[in-house]
Amino acid sequence: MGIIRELPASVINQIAAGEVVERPASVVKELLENALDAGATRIDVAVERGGKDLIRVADNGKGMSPEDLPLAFRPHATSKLAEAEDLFRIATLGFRGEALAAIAEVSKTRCQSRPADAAEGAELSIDAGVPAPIKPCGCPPGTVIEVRHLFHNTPVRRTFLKSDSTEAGHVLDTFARVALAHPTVHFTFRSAGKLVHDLPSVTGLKERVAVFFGQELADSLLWVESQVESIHLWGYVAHPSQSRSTAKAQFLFVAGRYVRDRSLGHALNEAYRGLLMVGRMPVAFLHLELPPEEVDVNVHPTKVEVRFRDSQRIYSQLLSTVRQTFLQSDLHSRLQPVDDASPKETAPPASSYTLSTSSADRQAVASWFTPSASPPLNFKPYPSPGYAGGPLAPTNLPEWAKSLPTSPPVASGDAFNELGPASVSTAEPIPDAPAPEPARDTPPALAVPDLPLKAIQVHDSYLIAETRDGMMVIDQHALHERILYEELRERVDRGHVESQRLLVPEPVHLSASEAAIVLEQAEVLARLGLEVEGFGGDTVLVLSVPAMLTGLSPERLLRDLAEHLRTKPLEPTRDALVAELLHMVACKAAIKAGQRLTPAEIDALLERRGLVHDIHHCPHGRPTALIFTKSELEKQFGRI
Amino acid sequence: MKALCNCEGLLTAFGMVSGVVPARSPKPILQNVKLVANTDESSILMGTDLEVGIRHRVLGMKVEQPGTVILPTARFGSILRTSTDQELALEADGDHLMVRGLHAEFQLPGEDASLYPEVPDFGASAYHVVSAADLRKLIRRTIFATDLETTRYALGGVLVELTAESITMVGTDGRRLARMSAPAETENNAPNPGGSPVIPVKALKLLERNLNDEDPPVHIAVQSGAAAVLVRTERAVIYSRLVEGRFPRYQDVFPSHVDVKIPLEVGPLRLAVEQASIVTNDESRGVDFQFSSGYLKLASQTADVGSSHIELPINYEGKPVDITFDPRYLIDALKTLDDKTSITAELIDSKNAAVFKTDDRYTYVVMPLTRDR
Repeated sequence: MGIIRELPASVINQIAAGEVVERPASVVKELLENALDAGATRIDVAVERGGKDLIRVADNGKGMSPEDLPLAFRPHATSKLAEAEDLFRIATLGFRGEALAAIAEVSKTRCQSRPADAAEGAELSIDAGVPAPIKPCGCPPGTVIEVRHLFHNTPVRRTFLKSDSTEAGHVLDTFARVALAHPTVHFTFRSAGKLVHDLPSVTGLKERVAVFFGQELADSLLWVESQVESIHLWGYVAHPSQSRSTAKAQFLFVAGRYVRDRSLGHALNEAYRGLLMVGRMPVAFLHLELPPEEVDVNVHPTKVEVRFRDSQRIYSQLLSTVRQTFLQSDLHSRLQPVDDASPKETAPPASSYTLSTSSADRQAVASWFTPSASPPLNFKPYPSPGYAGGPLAPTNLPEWAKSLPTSPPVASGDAFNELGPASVSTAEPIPDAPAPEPARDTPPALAVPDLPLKAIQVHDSYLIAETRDGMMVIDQHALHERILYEELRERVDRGHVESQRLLVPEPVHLSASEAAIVLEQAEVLARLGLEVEGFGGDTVLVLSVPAMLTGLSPERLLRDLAEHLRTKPLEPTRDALVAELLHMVACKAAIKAGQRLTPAEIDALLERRGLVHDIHHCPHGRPTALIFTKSELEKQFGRI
Repeated sequence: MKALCNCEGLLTAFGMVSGVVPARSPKPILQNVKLVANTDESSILMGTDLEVGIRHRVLGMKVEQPGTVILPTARFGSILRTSTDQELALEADGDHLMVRGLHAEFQLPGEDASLYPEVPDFGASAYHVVSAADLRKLIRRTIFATDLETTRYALGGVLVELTAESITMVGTDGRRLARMSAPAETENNAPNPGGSPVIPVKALKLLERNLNDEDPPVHIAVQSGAAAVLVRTERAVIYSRLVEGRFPRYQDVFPSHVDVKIPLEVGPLRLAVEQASIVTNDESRGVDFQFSSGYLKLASQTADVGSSHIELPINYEGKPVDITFDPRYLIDALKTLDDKTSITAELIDSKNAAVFKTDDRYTYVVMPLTRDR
């Protein structure tokens, strides 16, 4: 008798459940995506005990007829896909037809559903995969799914769950990702009977960000957008003063789906190179719209990973878009607000409402600090023009998305072209704008190069300089380092990199992966003046080192670079490596904190400040200067 | 202890010893120097940082009551330098040290002299003997090539090889290497020290300051087991621990054959290299050397700084050779040589080591710079 047999359907479902349903948060994700795929405009989520006891997702989508109901819970039954080719043009969030079956297999599930045109709804209960007969019930249009006692028939799985609050946290993370991806849908979230979030539909991502991450972060967001052929990238990146220690605050949505992508995460880090301190990760909320055939989402059951047909192109688009934004922006660190949280005194008059929205974006770059400038906190739900036409099917996501930047009717298209001088001038004529008129928000950075700065030195470490609209405290080391770095970089770009050969080749022991990558990139390194060759095993021989770094031991140099190469998933460019080297040189050569400068030296330093591309941060990403605006000083002294 | 000291004699010794004393030390007593007063004109001033130590003879001491006293380096140094007296009276009991001149009197706290570590004396009966002038030259011509930063090799000092006939010193930082030999003798058939004793730079600098060309020969004893070296000069004994670690096999550095030999004179060459290096900077430091018949052309070019072209007539007829050097490496070595010295450059091509040799057994090897041209 054979030993191989076909598994019963219930076992298959349980195995599938292992992949798809890992914890309550996975159930929430699947149910939310189903609701969105059903075209819901309002979705209510409730969980008890972190979702272990109950997960309830109610939507007002198109609902299911009694005939569809049992099919929905059968494995590989779906309405979202008809043939194999459809897999390559998936426009819905789900498509595998596995989730509901898997969830029903490991819980007590009850589903009530009514299409809008049906007189009454239908209810189906399934206990650990065993369905009860369908019976009619009364319910509003849409679908309500309740999942109780998750994993009650797989006790091992249940023991692997963490505490209620941890699981509730995961559920909330999942909820936040979906809510961020779909700002036009009204979401509510209840946990343990308490209303945690009530998110009316809004037109922009920003308001949702404010809810989940605080107003301060939302105010520091910079709008980025670009369209290269069919790939549309838009969203917000945070000002470098906002950073996190992990990549958890980086949200990338591909066609409304939260995904993680190492390569794009890296592109983001590259864009922030030199703006963030080492070890800090940028914050970003980015949407990527691209034709369905350009991306394969059928990589992993939970679909957090996707494959791009041309990931290199998307990488460079993201990098250049964000970089471009930074170059046009004023990235000075602002003094953190003292009492910025105080609500705005008066609600902005209706007439200036749209203007303040557009200027809010500019403030993000120009001066979100300015205390009395009122970022519009109390947004009313504001239907976007593209959203007026009935229930929003996810397929027309790109439409509302594209309508976003222009949704404030008065703002011209280039109001979002961050801080182009044009946007400043459009702001100026506003007659009844709140207190500090937007003209004052002109970024000082634009004005700095033509301002002769007079500065005094304090504590032999900082320079205080008067600017047109306030004052600036400059870290002399950070500024000098940045200046040197830029100058070196320019020089190196123009000239050749010299290489000093070693009398005795120096063997360096590396880890196997480091040795492999170093030897793989030997040609790139050689162009930097660092010649290496294999010495058997994991030992690499250094034959020559860059001449400008003769002070550095070859071993340390190679280790640093190997580390750099190993942690970057993409082909290292010569530029990136040169930048790495120059950082080391600049840091060593720059004047240190605690070094007394003569007035002439201070003047010289500040004069050179204007010659540098990115004066806002030292190459390690620390800010070089803090700005104290005049209005802020006045406020601190109680003059206004 | 009670003694009358000649200020000049004490100041000479003090100047030499205080250079060893650490400014900061986890053992505060090391921030002092120790004076051992003996009645028989053999009073000794000593200082150490436990790596390097020196025992220096103090001349002109009239000792009434022998003993040992600890002197605070900075304060006592100031007293000596500002004193107008010919002689100073030192008197120490358990608690205090009294320093008296004609019109000045100081009371300093006394410290327990037995806590001060003993600096080893030159005890060896078999040792090597080298002329003071030669030893000075050896040190000056090798010490600049060392590298204090590296930890991989023992490059923070100079390798000393002693045989029955000669002493050889080698200093390198992995990019250039200086080697010089001089004649030496042995006393009591001293064996050649095993291993590769590397004397730290600090000890060599101290030794060099201690030497005059006219001094009588210097005695050197390497204690392989104790990993230390003792050097006896006319006035002092210098003790130093050896640098731990391996010295690279420097013999492999010298090319086995060379293509061209070019005779040069140090003075003009040094001037030319110094001129060419004016328009280099830290990021672009190469100077191109073009050796051709009758002429050496030096060229350097640096963005933002400028360029230079220098010509030097040379006595050379042969195939042209192009090579790029970091000029500082050449200047370092040329500065230690007399301007009239003739020096021979031995070259292969732009990628291989260049060797410079003088008639007095000095060899200097430099690796060239390469550039993606």
